[in-house]
Amino acid sequence: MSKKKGSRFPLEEVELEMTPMIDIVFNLLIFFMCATKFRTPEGVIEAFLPKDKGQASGTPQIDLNEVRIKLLWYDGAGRPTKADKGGFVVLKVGDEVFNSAGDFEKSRYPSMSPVWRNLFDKLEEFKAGYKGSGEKGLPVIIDARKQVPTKFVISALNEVVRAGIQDVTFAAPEIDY
Amino acid sequence: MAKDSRVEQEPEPKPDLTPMIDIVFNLIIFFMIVSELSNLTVEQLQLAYASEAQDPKKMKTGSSDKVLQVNVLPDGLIKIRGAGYSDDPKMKGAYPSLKEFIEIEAAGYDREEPDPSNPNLAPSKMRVNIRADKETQFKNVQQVFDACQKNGVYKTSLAATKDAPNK
Repeated sequence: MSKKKGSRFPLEEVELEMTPMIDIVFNLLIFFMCATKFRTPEGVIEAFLPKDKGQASGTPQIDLNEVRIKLLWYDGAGRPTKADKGGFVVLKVGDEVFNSAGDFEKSRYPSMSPVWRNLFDKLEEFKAGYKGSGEKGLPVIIDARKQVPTKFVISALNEVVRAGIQDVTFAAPEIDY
Repeated sequence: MAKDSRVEQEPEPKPDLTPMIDIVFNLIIFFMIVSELSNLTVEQLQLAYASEAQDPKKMKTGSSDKVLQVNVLPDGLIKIRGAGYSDDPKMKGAYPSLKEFIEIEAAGYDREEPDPSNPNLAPSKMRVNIRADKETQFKNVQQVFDACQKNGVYKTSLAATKDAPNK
């Protein structure tokens, strides 16, 4: 029924009830604020798996100039250990040891340790002196013991990539793995 | 007093809610866009720092599409799309074999021409990104490498954070 001017029932201003909507909207806001996980910037480093090595291949070619970065796992007495806990990481290239006992473990940020800078300098030195015949240049093998935390392996790989070395491989795990 | 009587006659003041509702809706839309409520492929892990880590989209070897995300948890369990796998003899029986899973996954991808140095194995076009917790032992990552290499999956990468830890 239309209401005309002078009707018995005067027109009243229609008001929207905002309270329930505001309640729901605030609940939604709180839910999304609590449930949100902000992703930190994540990158990737190529992990180089060799196609010409492994079980299915024939005799692999060995470059005598290859550099082996060893991440060893020693006990408190300074001997190699197979214990999962209580050990510390020793970084070696050839016979040269880059860190002393517990250097990384005492450091608050092991990945920022100056030891990695020394490794980088050493790799640069090897790269400059490389006289091999490899297509990709100096071959580097990262040989980490199975107990070593992954962060040390990634830090070593990071220095290799930073030095611009393209021929990088990971050594196979020890037999008793 | 005349002034008081005039005040009493004024209509009740009503707050204007429109700007507040605008802001609240904008906030909701913002949180809806940035939030990641459930992502089974990517577990919450503490990744190691690497200054040379590249943006996955800018990698030389293929696009970042169809990358199998393999999460290695601090305790050594390997999680792919929310399910646990392991080839560790200590966990044998508790979880399905990782090697078998990678074999089945790799079967769904084309293969490249075999490398002349290893004509028996045609490399798979599948890509695997290993997201390992920084404290997990390297033997757990070696399990993934081993499973990949045995199935001809050579396109692998290691995830790392670009956020320096001393920031």
